[in-house]
Amino acid sequence: MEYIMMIFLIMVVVVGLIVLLTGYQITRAAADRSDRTQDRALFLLKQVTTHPLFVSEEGVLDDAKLTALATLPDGCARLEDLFGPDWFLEVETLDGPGAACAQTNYPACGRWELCKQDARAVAYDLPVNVYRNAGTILARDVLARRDLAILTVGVYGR
Amino acid sequence: MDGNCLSARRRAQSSMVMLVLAIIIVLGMVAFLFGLARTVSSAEYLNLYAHGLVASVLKTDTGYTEAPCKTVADSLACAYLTPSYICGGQETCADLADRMVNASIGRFAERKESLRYLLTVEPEGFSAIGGEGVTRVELGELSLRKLRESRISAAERLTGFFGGQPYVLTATLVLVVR
Repeated sequence: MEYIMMIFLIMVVVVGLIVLLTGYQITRAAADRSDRTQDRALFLLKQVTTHPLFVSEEGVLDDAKLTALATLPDGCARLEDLFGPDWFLEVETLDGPGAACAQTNYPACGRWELCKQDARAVAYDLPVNVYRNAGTILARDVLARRDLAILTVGVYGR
Repeated sequence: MDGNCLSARRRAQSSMVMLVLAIIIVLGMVAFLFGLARTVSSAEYLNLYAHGLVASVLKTDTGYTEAPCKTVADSLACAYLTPSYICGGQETCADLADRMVNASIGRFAERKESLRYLLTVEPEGFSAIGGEGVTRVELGELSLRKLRESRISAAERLTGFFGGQPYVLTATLVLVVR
């Protein structure tokens, strides 16, 4: 009787261990995938603040470049060719008009969205400047200006 | 060897095996729980955020077009060197720097709740103690100066010319994000 009980207990323990190890592996795989997504989002955040495609100097995004990218019909596809698929960026100035920039309302706008989709994403935000090429329009002059903005870069978790 | 002795030995062996199995189960559960408790390090992001915040605030234009007051960095240097200088005939450098830094970082604090800050501007490498005039410009929560734990700091160098003289100052931002 004792042997039967012991064998039964050993079986229970072995099955339990298998379940535990499988669960552990699944959890580790999910955590690794999540870590990779976060690392990619951080990498893209750094890329956007330094890549000449977006900035006029490090940490200062150029509003003309952003508007051009946002209004290009295949702007997102071109960015995905460079930086990979399933990511987005959003820039919003903290003061001034919050309308999305297009060819018709530039420079009276303050928001740019590239590759934005309605899907779950891991995103990070970062304080940046936006170089407004036509920041202050005077009677006889147009002055550039650096505005405060918030940059959000995210990776869709598929 | 009689039956009772044999039975006692078997019970002892069974107990040993059970004990070993119990230890294995406990170890398995500990490993499982460690797997669940993900250790996502946000230190890299917070560091990046603090550096981005101090750099972007310093580069922001104040609205004045003349050199000592054009950017927040200019106004901070002016607040250190000649705090009573009047920008555009309206406000002193010290007031402008205070207003701009509070407004700029305040905007980010609205988005990140419980963001507390202290921005310090002082000469690079040394600071005068007990002398006349401004030895250090401090904006924000002064209590963060003494806080040693759970704070992030980022520094930027301010260089330029003021009244024909070159200056090198360090702006250090201390952030506490809960």
